[in-house]
Amino acid sequence: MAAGNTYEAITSVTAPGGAATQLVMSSIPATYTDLVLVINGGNSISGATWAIQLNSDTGSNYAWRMIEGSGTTATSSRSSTTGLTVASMYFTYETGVGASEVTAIANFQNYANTDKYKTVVMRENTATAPNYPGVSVSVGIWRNTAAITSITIMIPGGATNIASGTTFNLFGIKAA
Amino acid sequence: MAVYKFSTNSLKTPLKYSSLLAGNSVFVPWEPSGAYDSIATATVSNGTTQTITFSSIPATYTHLQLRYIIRTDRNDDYADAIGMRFNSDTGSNYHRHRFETENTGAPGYGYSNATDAQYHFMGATALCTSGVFASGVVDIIDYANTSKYKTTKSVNGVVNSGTQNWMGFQGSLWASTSAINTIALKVNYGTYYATGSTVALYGIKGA
Repeated sequence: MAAGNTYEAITSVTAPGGAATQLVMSSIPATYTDLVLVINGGNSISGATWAIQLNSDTGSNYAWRMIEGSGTTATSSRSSTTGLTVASMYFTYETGVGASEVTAIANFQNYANTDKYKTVVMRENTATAPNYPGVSVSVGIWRNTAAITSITIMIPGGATNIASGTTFNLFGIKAA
Repeated sequence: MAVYKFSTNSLKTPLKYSSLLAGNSVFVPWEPSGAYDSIATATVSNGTTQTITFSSIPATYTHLQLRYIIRTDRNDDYADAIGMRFNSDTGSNYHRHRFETENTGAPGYGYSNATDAQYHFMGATALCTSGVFASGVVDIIDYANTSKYKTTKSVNGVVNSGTQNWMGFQGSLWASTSAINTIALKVNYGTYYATGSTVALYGIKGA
């Protein structure tokens, strides 16, 4: 039986002008089944990747895998050759400059479940990145069973800033 | 208690109905109420489920989307494949292409005339750390159209660690013009789904 309209907007964040190296969506309610994060933006300086941290966990509790297609070749990359040693999930290899240079959709399934690790599946378009343009698909894991209450989009190392006007729109999906 | 009085006229000339609805509007037990509706959810609560089936799928929507977390009892790799069949069709009517990576490289694969559409759904395995599940999103386009073959696309993956992972995205074709009313998802390399595996089916309406 259909449970009604089950795809709802939770929050939207727009990057201000200035020096934001990360944006945080916090106080995410546990009332949905899945989360979908839609990203449209870029950097103020070219050449940096983007990553996700959950619940402000900066520990080495993440791993990720990515396939990139440049239009001529297909390659893949991963978080580590030795295992679980990174502090965030990368989801772009490189982003372009400007507020509409990256389009990405991230799916957080069963984000409020408290007995499973959290796997995130993402699709990205970085077609205007200056050195590594293309499209990619990535998957990451956060090895923690806590319900996700905050999502941080960050530039690891903080070398560049998120471009002014970059938008993050978070949606919740309810299952029957 | 209120007292109601029948009029003489209503007793002499009663209204007659040819339908049991007796003049009431039809009650519809469900109908699409939004652009994106939850149709059904299957959650595995035992260790003996081989196939998850969604049946009697209404033709009321434009597209279907399935969202899942899956783990199986396979014990010789870090990922399992799940086979998908529509309308119980076991014929060689499924064709698919997949772009994937398993630890290294980014190879592509294609299969024609298969008896199911594999890899749209995948599972973490018993070799993965407890609590690790594969995740994915599967879109079935124009599923109720009776003049087109049915196309499906998906993205999915499982990461147990930096060196134990499998992911990809794929498209497939079911060479049938029938409206899809049943979706069956069967564990391929392993035998059973792990407890807690969940698949949710949604309907998306066009304007």
